[in-house]
Amino acid sequence: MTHHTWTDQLSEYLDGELNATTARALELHLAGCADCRAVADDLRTVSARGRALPELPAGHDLWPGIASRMEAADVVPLRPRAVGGLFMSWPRLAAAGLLLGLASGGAMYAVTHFASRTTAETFPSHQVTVSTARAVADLEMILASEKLDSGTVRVLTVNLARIDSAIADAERALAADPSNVYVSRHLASTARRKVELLHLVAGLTQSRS
Amino acid sequence: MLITSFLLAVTLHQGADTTLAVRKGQRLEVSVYAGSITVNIWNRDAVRVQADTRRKDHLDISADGSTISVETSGKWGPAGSAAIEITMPAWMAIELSGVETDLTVTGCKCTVHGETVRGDVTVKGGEGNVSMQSVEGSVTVTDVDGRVEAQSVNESVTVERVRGDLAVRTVNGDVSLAAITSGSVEASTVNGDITFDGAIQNGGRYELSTHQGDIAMTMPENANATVSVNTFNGSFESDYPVTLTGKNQRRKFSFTIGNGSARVDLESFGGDIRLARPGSGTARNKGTGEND
Repeated sequence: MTHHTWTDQLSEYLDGELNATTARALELHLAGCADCRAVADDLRTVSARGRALPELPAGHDLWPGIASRMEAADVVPLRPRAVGGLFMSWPRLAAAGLLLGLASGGAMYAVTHFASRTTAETFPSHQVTVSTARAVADLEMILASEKLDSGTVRVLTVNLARIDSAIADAERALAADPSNVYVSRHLASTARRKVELLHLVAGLTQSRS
Repeated sequence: MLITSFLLAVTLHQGADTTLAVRKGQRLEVSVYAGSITVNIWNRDAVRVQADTRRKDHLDISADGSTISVETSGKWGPAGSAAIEITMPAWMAIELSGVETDLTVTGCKCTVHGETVRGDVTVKGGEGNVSMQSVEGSVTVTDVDGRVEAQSVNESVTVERVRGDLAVRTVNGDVSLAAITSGSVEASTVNGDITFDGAIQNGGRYELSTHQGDIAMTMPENANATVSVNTFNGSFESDYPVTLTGKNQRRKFSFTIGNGSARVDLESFGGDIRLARPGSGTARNKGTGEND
């Protein structure tokens, strides 16, 4: 099994939903894999924090603001900037990392929360909306704070919006068919994809700082 | 010029052509802000670096016991476009990075890792673990024996003639997997099609998932697989006669081919899913009736 396969099962494991054989195999893997063990510890922490959070509705739709800024964005040449590209100062990187961590935590809470459900329930869709909206806002701050190449910012923003759109599709589908296990899983995996994209951006900025 | 690479720090200028002796266990890191990095192999325990840089840019090479680093730098910041050609032993692990940089690696037999923002990535031949990603460029991996992780954000990912575990993803682009021999395949995109053509190994796991796009899987006649199909707005069609089980047989069901040993999950939220026999043509364009 790959690390990805193991970590995909952590949420069910922590919720006590794995069968005994799989749980034992996972525990054996965790005993010998520091990376997966760290992910499990993070999930425990995030899950505990998530349970303590109030459920808040999204304040407003972010897309109109993103769309207007995309329309207005100027294309800035990448090469002439002395300190351009994906370079970040350490203080800003630290701040961005902190924000990203918070955002990822929120999104991960949503991911683990949804991923652990397999029964017919009505999902509170605003939880994903809040988490991912916060993540988008944080990413925008990261991107804007260092004036990244506008072309790359646009690509990342558009793709985050694509993922948001997919999440919205899944939320609507789930509202129409609350017992659809596939759609609930799809919603969770799409939210996870958003977190992965944010991590990708953070990794790129970190590696070049 | 041949120099040893065990403890080294040199700065070279335009038109550099340097060869460093290396020893087993050393790895190579190459960072080029813009341009290209091309890696080939030879049968010498040495690394040759050929650099075509702008006149005022530098090529910095440093080494310690474990790592050799090659990096371009400009006088006032990031270097301009540079073409860096690396020739190295096949056993050497390599890590490539860039921003506006195309990455091309041929024939390595060790760990290959690369990431770029606005360039294309190509890996041809070799063995070992390959992990490559681009944000705005395409990623292509062919003729590799080993585990492959390939990721883009805004372009397609193409993998052909690979033997080994596969993890492939993009957000906005197609995923094309051809002539694959693998017991573990994970492929996903948000906005794009996925095609798979390859062997289905007994006990293997194959997961293809897209949000807005079609899935076409070409499955060998002798495959043994339990196939799970999920779609919300799409449809399913199959060249194989299948008996469906599941509540909503139009969009959510499973069936068994052969003894059902492998697990195949095909999921498209808004697109069509097609299961084809080898040689039946371009599966995604074929329009025979649904199988429900």
